[in-house]
Amino acid sequence: MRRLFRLPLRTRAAVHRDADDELQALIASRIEHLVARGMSPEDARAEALRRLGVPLDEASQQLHHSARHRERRLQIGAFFDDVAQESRYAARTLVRNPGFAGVVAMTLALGIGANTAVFSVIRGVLLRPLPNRDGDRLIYLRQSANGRGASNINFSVPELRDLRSGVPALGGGIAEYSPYGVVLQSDGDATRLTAGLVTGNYFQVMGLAPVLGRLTRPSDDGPGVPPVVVLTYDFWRRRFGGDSGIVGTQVILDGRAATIIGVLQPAPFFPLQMDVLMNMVISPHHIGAAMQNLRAHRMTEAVARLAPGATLAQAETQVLTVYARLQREFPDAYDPKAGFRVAVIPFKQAMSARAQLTLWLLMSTAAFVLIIAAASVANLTLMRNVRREHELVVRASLGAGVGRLRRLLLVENLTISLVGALLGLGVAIGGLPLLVSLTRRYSPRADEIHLDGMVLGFALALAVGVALLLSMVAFLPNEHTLASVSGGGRRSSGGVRKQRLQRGLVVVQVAVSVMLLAGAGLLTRTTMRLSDVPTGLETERVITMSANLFGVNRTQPDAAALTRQHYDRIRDDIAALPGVRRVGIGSIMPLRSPSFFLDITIEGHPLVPGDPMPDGAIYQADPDFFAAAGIPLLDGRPFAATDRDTAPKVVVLNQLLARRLFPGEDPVGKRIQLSTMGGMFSGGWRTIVGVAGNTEDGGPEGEPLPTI
Amino acid sequence: MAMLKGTLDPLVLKTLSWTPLHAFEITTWIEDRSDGRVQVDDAALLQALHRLEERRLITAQWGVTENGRRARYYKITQAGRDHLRAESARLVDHLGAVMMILSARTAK
Repeated sequence: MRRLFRLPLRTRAAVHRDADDELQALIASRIEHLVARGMSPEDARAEALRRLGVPLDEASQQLHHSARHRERRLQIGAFFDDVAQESRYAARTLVRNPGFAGVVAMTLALGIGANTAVFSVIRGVLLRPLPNRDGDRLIYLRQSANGRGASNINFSVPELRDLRSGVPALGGGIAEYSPYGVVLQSDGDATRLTAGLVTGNYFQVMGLAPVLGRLTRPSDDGPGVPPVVVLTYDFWRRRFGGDSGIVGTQVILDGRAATIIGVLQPAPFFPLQMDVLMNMVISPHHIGAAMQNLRAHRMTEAVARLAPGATLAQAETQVLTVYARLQREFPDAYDPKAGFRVAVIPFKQAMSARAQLTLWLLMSTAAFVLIIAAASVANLTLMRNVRREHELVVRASLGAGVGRLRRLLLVENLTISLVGALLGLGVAIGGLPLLVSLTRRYSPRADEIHLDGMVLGFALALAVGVALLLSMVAFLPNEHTLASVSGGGRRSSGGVRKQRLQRGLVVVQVAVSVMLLAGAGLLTRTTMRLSDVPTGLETERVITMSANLFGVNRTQPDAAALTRQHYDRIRDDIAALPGVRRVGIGSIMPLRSPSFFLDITIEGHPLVPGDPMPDGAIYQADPDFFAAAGIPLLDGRPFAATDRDTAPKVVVLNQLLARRLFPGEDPVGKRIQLSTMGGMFSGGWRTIVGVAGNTEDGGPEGEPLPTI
Repeated sequence: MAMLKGTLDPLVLKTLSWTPLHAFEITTWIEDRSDGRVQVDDAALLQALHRLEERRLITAQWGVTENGRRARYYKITQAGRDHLRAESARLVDHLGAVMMILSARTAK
């Protein structure tokens, strides 16, 4: 750096000597003056020292100090003067070459803009601390088992009860929350909402505060309490226009009156965004006996807060200890073959896990774009410097040192790369909405993406980095060139080295470009292939909708009949619409992941001990379901209107399950029995009446799921 | 007599407004012009010169005196002249006010 910022630096000793010399000169002059007026040399000396005002040593010390101070300030001042002068010169040079300046600035703008935009996403989603109080002490608990769809099987209430009592390291509390679909009714209008049903300690564990009213508390738990609603910030703004008088209002949710008690601060949710948060009393199921008492009834998410002073490692050890004990004590709830396990994950990490890979991939892509941009600009600069070499040599021979020339180039490059960064910020601001909507698919924190101080700093750092790099590659006239210039020669410096460097830059550009293009091409191809995967049904002319039925109390004796009436009316109403050819009703749409898997027993095939129990995903369907969705029937018949109610129970298998259960046999006419822990669908033999084509419900890349 | 606070810098600048001088010439000139009534301590003068140089109101260069002695010659800069003009106007105004107060007739 000393070479870069070459200044008339003087050592401390030299500065002191200078000050002392001046002091001695003054004393000598005075003595000379006094002697000339007839004073004796001794008296003259005494008088001169008296006139100092302070003893000689002290005067010397004072002057050392003031001289040092002076030197320092003058150096800094001189530096800024030079830089200001060079900046003016740089600006003039660039304005004189608008083409060059424009191309370079635009190129850098693209590179810096892309990086700034992606960095702002990474900052918002991965780096920025959670808005929750002490957000880094929040823990997400995840239970999983082997098999598809079991990577997160949630927790049961008894499991969490045991973890609460057995894990002191999570002494900040363990809260339950589960997404629950509710319907908000207002005048002539109904909206489906995602409600988070939470325990009373949820907000205290999460470290969230209300912006209006209050949040739920432990006294809101249990059955005998009125249902209360906390609006999320987004929902409050979207649905109620940020009405500050909303607290205390009654709304109708699932046909029941509930009171809005508060509005929550803006906060991201996981695993899905919520509209409102409620106490559990709205859901009979959540406060019911099965949910509260069955250990294998795993239907709630769990979030926890570390106790003061406790570490993640301690929490993990303790959770694993308790979990191992539970597995020993309740073998029924933890099938040893299913590989039950539990993970203790920082909440922030759980939240960003899906986004992480994509974002870093994007970041490195952006980095490569910047590399290409910088290489292009470096090449341009090199070529321009060939033309400028004469000017630089002249400047050097006029006394500008090499360091000074380098600084001149640095200032020029800084000027242009800062202009590039400014334009790049424009690019980033323009591209950010696109990135935010992309990120929304991967992370609940997309709303936290902003261009903040750190992002601006990042852009600035990129600009400075690029400028430094550009100034390093430039070749400056050295002693050899100077000699050749004074000898009459011109333009010869470092020809071979320069060509090698330029070639190297081109190689880098081409290599990185090919890599990026190939990557982008592959990605596009994959996406196109994915959309071409045969899904097993006609997607072109099928539309879907989903509806919640409420208003039917499921404990009513005639609930089943009432429900059926509802569905019949919906079907008839839709079928009456012009342009509708067929209407089918089923429990889960094709191509969506099913939620229930049932164990299957085959008549006449006793289970060989040690073999896993065959299982299948359950879908419920009405007779027109296959035809309406365009799922081909390969064998037998679809459901018929006569299969209802008291008629013998029948099932349709998909091809995969049929082959798995009855290899080489015709499954139609065979009987199977279904069983699940909840007890639904169990009881009685069901006759297989048909085999349908497979649909790609496990995601288009997955193999078809065995389906009934 | 001790120097009035804040008056040394303008006096030095005023001295240098004619021609570049070294420290001894400056102090002699001030003494002569005031008929010996204003005496500056030499150490204080040198410090003032450092200070003025630091503020870029004057510049310095080593030179040789008529008597063949090495001395640091000081020269006023444009910024120094501007400063002198503003500062002497302020000082004269202030001293005038002080004089007015002190020369007011007092009750016996």
